[in-house]
Amino acid sequence: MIPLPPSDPRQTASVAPRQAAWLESRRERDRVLLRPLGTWTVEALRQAEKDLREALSPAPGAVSLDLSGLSRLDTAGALVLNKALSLLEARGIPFEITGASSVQKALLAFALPPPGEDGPSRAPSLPAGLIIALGRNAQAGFETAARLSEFFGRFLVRLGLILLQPRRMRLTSLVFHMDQTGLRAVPIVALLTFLIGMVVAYMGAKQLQYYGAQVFAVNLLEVSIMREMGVLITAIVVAGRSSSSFTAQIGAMVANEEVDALRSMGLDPVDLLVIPRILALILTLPILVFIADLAAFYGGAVALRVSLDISFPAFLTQLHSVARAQNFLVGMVKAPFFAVIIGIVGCFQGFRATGSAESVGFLTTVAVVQALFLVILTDALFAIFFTAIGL
Amino acid sequence: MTRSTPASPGLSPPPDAPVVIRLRGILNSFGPATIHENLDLDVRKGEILGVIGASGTGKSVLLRTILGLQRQKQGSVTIFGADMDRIAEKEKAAIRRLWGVLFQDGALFSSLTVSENIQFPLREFTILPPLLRREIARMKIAAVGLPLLSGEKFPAELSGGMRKRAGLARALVMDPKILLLDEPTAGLDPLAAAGFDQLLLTLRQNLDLTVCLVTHDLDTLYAACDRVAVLAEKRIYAVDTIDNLIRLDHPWIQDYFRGPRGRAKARADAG
Repeated sequence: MIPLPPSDPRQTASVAPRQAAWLESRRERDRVLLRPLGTWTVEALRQAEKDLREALSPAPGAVSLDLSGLSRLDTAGALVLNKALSLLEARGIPFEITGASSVQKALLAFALPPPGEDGPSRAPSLPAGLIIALGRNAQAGFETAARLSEFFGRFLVRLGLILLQPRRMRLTSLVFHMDQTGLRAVPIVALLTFLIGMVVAYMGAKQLQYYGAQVFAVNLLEVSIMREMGVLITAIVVAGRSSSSFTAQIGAMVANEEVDALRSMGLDPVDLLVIPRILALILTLPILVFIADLAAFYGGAVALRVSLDISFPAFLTQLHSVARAQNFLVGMVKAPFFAVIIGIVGCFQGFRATGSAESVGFLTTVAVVQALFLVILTDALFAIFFTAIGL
Repeated sequence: MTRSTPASPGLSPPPDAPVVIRLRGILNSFGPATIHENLDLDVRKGEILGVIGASGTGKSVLLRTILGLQRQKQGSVTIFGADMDRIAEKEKAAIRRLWGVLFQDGALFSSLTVSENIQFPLREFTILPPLLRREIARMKIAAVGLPLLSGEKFPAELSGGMRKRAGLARALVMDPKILLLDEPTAGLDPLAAAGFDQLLLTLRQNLDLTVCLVTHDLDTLYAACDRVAVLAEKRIYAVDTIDNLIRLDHPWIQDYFRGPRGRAKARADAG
């Protein structure tokens, strides 16, 4: 067994320090004799620091500091002593140090208090602070909107160039992202829309039952799913899955200087990272919406079969008689727009990452919230537009 | 350059100094790849031990094994006489407070400023008043050679070398008994690295510190290390002073110390 060091670890386990630092002070007329005792280490200094300050007020004529009683001194202890000594020096009070070992002398020479004061940082008062925060947030909002537009413009330019020279399209990457954002989202999208279809059909049938018009629940389902629910639920799921993962992937690459490495090789990160992701979304989101519509109808059929005893053939007959291509297309046409929004926001936030991993996490959240906000806003604008043109 | 000043021999601990870190029969493997096998190492009280080895020989893994971040498959890690795998969690926590660790990129908490990072152990483990905590942080910032203003900055706003220094300041704030450093001078300019070596010697002299550092820096090895442990053939191939290591007939050691950089260094030292 090796002898433990002076501060036995088993004794320092509790927060309250067992090792104690204290101060013996004596006033002889105008002269103060100070004798620090015990272990002046960082764990034990709280009281000693206060005692030292009190021992030196009111200011004495001279001070003599005897270090011979110290069993241990560390940099924090030396700093406390040095602070007191520099205060004396500033006031022109003579002092002497006695009984200091060579190690203690070296420590005192090492642990010098840095110049300048470290006062508490002053924050602006509450109302002013709120106005400042409001202004900063508004400014940041406008800046983000401007940068997002700029990023969208750059994407369009690079996309145009690639469409002119399709051979520069990175096919492997495109297929990979179609798999990641499209194929792998099928189960969750299908399950969620299946459930939504059930809920819509069931709630509709419940209300229409009062008029004996249960079978029109199918009409309700047809309109709400194909025009709105199918595409919106799909977009929300994909925004949650893909815009966050785009931000995280690109953000990690930015933080790791991989994007800078690409740029320095003369490659455009938009070509390599953004276009495959967004094209993959544009291609797969409509397919997902189609699957979502089917799953929702299936869910509705199951709900009506169970609650109203409408058989599957009867459901299909009714659906055939009311379904209009127009409603399907109104839903479908929104899909590529949502795809672009989700992809652009996800990639854009990824490029905003700074060096720290923390920023990537923060931006991932921002990306999802912004993508959802913009998707729902666009959906509302589409609704107004379609109403205006009479669809 | 003044950097070649060898560690003053009077400061090196005697060969019979107690052992503070003792590794015995360590086996580390990742899947089929064995990194360490039957590895023994003693770090003596008060010494500065450098660990060298080719890339991929598991220098960082060795450090992580000592720290308990990487559980060894076989063997024992004994720190201050306590077998880290046998003692209770509470005792382990107490021993962990006796060491300071500098990770390769500083491992500063990104949501705290540099000053808050350095104060973090003080906040957790002491009951010092906030003003004194801040002053200790400022002293450590100055001691590791950072400008005082950098205390208010966030780690992401610092350069790599500055992050390293801030990480060292945090490792030192509790005045640890053992300092474990992973590549402390990598990424520092030569002057800063030389300052770092001197800092290490000053700290060791003043704080009766034991230092175990992983490094590639020949200057640090010559200027600061009492002994050097060579990680080769999956174990500590040799631990000795550089003068004795050079006499060993191992191809990697020969290449390391007799290569162009090693030769230049030896010449500068002799002259």
